[in-house]
Formats: sequence, structure tokens, C-alpha cells
Amino acid sequence: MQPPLTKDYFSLFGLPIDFHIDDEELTARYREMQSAVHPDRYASAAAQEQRISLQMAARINEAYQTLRHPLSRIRYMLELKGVDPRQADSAPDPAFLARQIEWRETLEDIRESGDPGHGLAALNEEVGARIATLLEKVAAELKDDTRLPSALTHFLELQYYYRLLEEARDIEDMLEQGGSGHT
Amino acid sequence: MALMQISEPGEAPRAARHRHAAGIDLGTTNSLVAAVIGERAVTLGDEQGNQLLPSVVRYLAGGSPRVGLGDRQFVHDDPHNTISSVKRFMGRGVEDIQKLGDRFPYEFVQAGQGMPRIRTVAGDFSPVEVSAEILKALKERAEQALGGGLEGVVITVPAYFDDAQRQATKDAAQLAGLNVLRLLNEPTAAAIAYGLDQGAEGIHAIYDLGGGTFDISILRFSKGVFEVLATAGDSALGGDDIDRVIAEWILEQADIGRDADQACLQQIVHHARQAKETLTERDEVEFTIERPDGSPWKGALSRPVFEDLVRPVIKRTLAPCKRVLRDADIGVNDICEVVMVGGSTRIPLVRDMVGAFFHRQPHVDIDPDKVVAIGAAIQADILVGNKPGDDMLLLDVIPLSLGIETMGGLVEKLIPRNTTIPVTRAQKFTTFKDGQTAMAIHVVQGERELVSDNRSLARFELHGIPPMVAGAAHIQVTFQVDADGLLSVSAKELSTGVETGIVVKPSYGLSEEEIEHMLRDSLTHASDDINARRLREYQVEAERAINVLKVALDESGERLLSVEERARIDEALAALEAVQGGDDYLAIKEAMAHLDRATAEFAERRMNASIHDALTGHKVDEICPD
Repeated sequence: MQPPLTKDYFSLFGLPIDFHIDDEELTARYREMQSAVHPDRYASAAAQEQRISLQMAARINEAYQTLRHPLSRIRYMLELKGVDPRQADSAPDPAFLARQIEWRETLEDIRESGDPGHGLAALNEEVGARIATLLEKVAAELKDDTRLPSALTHFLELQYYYRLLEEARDIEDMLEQGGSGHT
Repeated sequence: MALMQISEPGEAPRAARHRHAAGIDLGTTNSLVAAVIGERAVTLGDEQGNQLLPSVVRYLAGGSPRVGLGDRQFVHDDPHNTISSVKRFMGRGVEDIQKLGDRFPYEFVQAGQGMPRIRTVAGDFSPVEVSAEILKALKERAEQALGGGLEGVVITVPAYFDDAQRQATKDAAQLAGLNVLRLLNEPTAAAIAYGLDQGAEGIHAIYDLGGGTFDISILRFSKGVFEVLATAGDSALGGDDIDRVIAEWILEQADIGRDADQACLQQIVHHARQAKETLTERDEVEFTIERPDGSPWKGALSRPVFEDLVRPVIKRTLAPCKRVLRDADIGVNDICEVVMVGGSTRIPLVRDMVGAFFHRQPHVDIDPDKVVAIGAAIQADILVGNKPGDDMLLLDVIPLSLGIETMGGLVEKLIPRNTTIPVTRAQKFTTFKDGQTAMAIHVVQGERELVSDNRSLARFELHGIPPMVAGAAHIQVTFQVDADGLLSVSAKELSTGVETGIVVKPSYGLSEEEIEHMLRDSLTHASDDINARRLREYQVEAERAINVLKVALDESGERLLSVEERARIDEALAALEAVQGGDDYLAIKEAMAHLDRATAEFAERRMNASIHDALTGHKVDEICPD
């Protein structure tokens, strides 16, 4: 049995290395594992066990958080294959760049309109749909080592879209506060 | 406790012997201690049956400090020597205290860097020492009620307490002679008491407005698992602030200057607090106040005026509520219940404003004063080992982001707020001068971009880096936040494998030497001395390590160890047993380190096996062929 402190996150959870994960299964396993090694189970144990319990529980937390969210899951799978997104060639596709500028303008319009209903729902839906499509593309590309460069490109696009959703949410919060007249 | 069930085949597991444990709510205004007796968690009272212990410590010239009900009146009779709300000063520095303004009558003196001290007729005391007096009183109360020494306690802290505030609490417990099983967040403690009592499932909000701190936590309850989704708050906002606005109104109405003597001012605060409590039931309250010049002032405060005064204070609690929903990624409609904790939540206006924010009536049936101590007692009972089969699991979070100072006074965030604990992050550093053997890392807590806008936690000074060409060293620094929410740092130079030494310089805390010094001073037995104490501690720890190991060897030694590995462990075990009964603590320490090295791999394998068994649905105490 490979020691859990060095196992990859998928193996730690007893799962195959695959983008498609059953969320409920992952959470159920997470709880079972933490139930076994959490420091609360070792609060009256010897110092050595407390130390190892702490390390293992921390790793299980790290693994769970990484696998839970599609974006971090993909980043992790790329890392397992030796691809570091931070070293990626940062010259994106010009068509994608053009789209980024359009999205920025759309966001600015919404922000300036002062009205969250103005286009946020449409933006969220469209970006959500693109994310869904990209996730499926990347899932397939990750199964084929020859398509890794493509997976990386699509990962960077996904990263951009998730950030866009975050910004949209910030604007929504801001507009809601402004709209009610109080903070 | 896992791994500890031994039984003959066919026999029921030997019942664990009952250990005395208690839960302590160390509050700003009042403290409580509770324990599980029989099957129920109950708060423990003093001889008169009083459950609440005012968090008030009175220092007397030439006598021991006194903690208790009788000392409340001295808050205004002897304001400089009667310390209340000391929780507000834990883990804080002189500038923080200055920011609190003139509301506290104490004389603060700075003793070197770090934690300021309060000057009293009996000497200068740090907030840690003052808190230790309260803890000692609670310890005595518990040991009386339970009929024996406490093996461990769970002490609660506000969820929004930072590392310095938590460490100060742990230091106070150490000074009081208490073994802290866990520092538990107050909203989580309340959630346990409430959740287990009601059999609740789903997402809940705990709104905890105490005397000096405010927390709002969002938790998911699910089959005995209490998972904190997010927490927010204000560790300098509470019922005290409500008292203050009323006191200032009185000063204005009665035309008393803020430069009046402390006895007068403290008495007005006392009236203000009573008025706040009275107005919960009644619509109006009357005052008769003696002005400094002796003339009386009579006035009345109606509930509408009271509510206007107090509304801005309560409004300050709503911004964290907004943020916590965002951080938990939920809306008000996702919440099953809002549970109110803390005496100040009795105020009708608080219930109204919170109800309006969350779009539902808050749950107010639990006792807001006791629920935290009860929850702590329940957890203490489990952690000390009285409930071997209990599956309750608490997954808590760090409330504030941790970051390190980088070039230009900026912060690089390492561990974001609301990360589930325990958590470990590693960061690589290198040297910038040839032959550099030392390095300092400044850790801060908070959400801002500039170091100066965040809370300085400590400077970690690394030393013993192997001298190399600049830039050649690969120093991996590991930041670990444990289940108490406390940070520890370790560092290793990767190319040589050398672990660097670390000296911790807390920004607002006590150094290890200071604590040692205080412990020495506080020993009550004349025959005791620091060496005897230290030897005993090592002997106890050795005993524990030996017992745990023997049980583990019986249970899984054959399954998990090769013949050579077992022989090595047996040798190290024998070596420790040989010195354990002696009086050379260094020999014990060394033998324990040796045993630790020999058994670390075995301990990892056992834990690995328990994870494996958990995932495949087996219990650890069944014999499981590989």
C-alpha cells in the first residue's frame, strides 16, 4: 500500500484518475476518511500519533478541495501529467483575446447601467454554457497524452471564464447594495 | 479514540475508564464550566448554585487575586484593580488598546515588545495571567463537582479570533494548569449543543453576539458531521458596545463630563448594562445617578430611544452576515434555522434586525448563555476518550487569510480564509547573499493587500541554513494550521535535507521564556520546583507513548511490520522503559526521540490502514486479512 502522504489525490480517495467524479461519492469518502484520522480522534493520543494525524488530515483536506472543483481538478490532472499551467506560453489565441475584450465591454455596460437585471442573467447563462462545453472537451483531451497542449489551452480559457463569473458576481453584489440604498 | 479497542474474540470490548473532562466558555462578561455527567452535559455551579462566573478579577495588595460574584461591585468601587472584559485585551498590543479609547480605567504598561501589562496594586499582569485566574477558578469548581482532577478541557474562543488571540488563550490555560484538548470555536460549540439536541440536519446560521465579540458562522449538519462552510465576524464588537452607547447617552443627559473619576464612570456603565437588560422585558427604565459633585440626576430611557441608540451597533453585525453568505456560496433561502447565541441576543431589536436580514424568525429556544459551554463539554467528553464509538466529526475553518510579507510591503496570501483545518501549505524560498545562513519570514493575518493593513502575527527566524552560493538554497517552508487554528512553521533546505531551526517572535504574545517564567512564579506547592515538574511531564508523556505503542503492537504489529522492523522497535521501547522511572529528564527525552524515529513508519501504516478500512467499510478492530 502506497503511503497516503505521497499518494496522488485520486488514489487517496480510491478513485480512478478521471475528470468525471461522482460528487456525492467524493464527499462521502472524504467524511469517512476524516472520521478515521482527524486530530479529534487523537486528542488524547501520544504526540507522534497527533503529529501524523495532523499531516494526514491536512492532506485529505487538500485533496478534497482540489478534486471538488472542476477547475482545480483539471489543473491537478495537468500537473500529474507534468504540465504546469503557470509556465504556459502566455500568448493566447487572438480570437479568444477579441472575445475577452467583448466580455469586458459587456461587463462594463452592466456595471454602468446600475441595473443588475440589465444583462447579468444572460451573461451568466452564456458563460455557464461555454464552461460546460469546455469542461467536456478537456475531460476528453486529458485521456490522450497527445492532446495535452490542447487541454492546457482550454484550461486557460476555463480559468478566464470562471474569473469572469466572479467579477460578474462582484458587480451583482455591488449593484444590489447600491439599489437598496444601504450598505 | 481509534486503534484502542482490544478484546478476546467473542467478548464485548473492555469499557474505557471514565476520565474527567470539562468544557469551558471563557467569556468577555461571564464564564462557565460544564461537563457530561451520566448521559447529559450540564453546567456546573458554585456552592450557592450560581452557574455564571463573572469574568472579573480583583487584585489586592498583599493577597491572592479574587474571582467571583462578590467582585462585580468593585468594578466601580475599585476600578483600577478590578479587571473585567480582559478577553478584549488577549492577543492585542498597546496600539490596539489605545484605539479602544478611554473606556477602560486600567493602567497599561508596555513590558518590552509584545503583550502589554495591566498595572495593579498587586503588580503588573498580562491579560494572559488575568485570564488564567478565571480559568483556575473554573478548574476548581469543576474538580469539586466531578470529584477528581481534570484530565482535559475544551476551551471555546470566538471563531473570528486570530492566531495571537488563540495562542494567548492556550497560554492562559497552561498557566492555570489545564490540559487543553481543543480550542473550539464558539459558534461551532453552540452548533453541537443545538444540533445534537434537535437532531437537526441541513444548513444553519449561528449568530453569536457576546459581551465583546461577534461571530456569524454557517454550518452544515449531516449525520453527526458538523462542517463549517464559512465564518465571519468582528472580534471587537459586542454587548459591551451596546452598554457604552447607553452610558454615553446618560453622561450627556446628566451633563457629566467624560473626565469624571473612574468610579463614577464605571457606575454609569453598570447602570447602562442594567438598563439594557431591563428594557428587554419592559418599555421604560428609570435612573437615579449621583453626579461627581454629589447632586442626583433622575432620568428615564424609553425603549424607542434605546433602540435608536443601539441600532447602529447592531447594524455593524450585518456586514459580516452578508460576507459569510457570499463566502459560503449560499443565499438566505438555503438556511434552515438561524440560532441565536450570547446574552445580547435577548434584546428584541437584535432579534428583529436579524430576522429581517435572514427572512425568518430566529430560533431562540436554547439558553443563549449556556449553549457554548454545553457544546464544549460534549466535545471534551469525546476527546478525552470517554466515548470510543462516537462518530461526531467537526470540520472547522480558519477565519482569516494567512499571508507572508513580500517585496514592497505587499502580502502574498498563502492560506485563504475559510479553508478547512487542519491545513498545510509549502512555499519555496532561496537566499540572496552568498553564505547566508539565516532568514526571517513575517506572517500576517487578514484580507488586505498591504502588510501594514493586516494583523502582524509573528516573525519566524530561520537559522542554520547550510551556507551556499546566493540563490542555490532551496528552502521549503511549511505552514501548518492545526485543529485549534494555530499556526506552526517548519523549514527544510531541500538539496541538503537539513531542517533549519526556527525561533518564533510573536508580535502580540508571550515568548516561551516569559511563559516558563510565569509558570515558575505561579507554582503553589512549596516542595515543587521547575525541574520536578518537567520530569513529571516527560514521564507522563513517556508512559503514554509506551502504552499506546504496546496496544498497537498487539493489535497490528504482526500484520504491518517485518521481523527486523519489529526488533528495532522492541529495542527502542526497551531503551525508553529503562530510563522512564529515573530522574534524568534528558535521557527520557532522548529515548523518546529515538523511539519516535523507530516507530514513525509503523504509526503511518496504522493510520493508512484505518483510512483503508474506513473506505472499505470495515471497523478497525476486526481482523482484516490483507
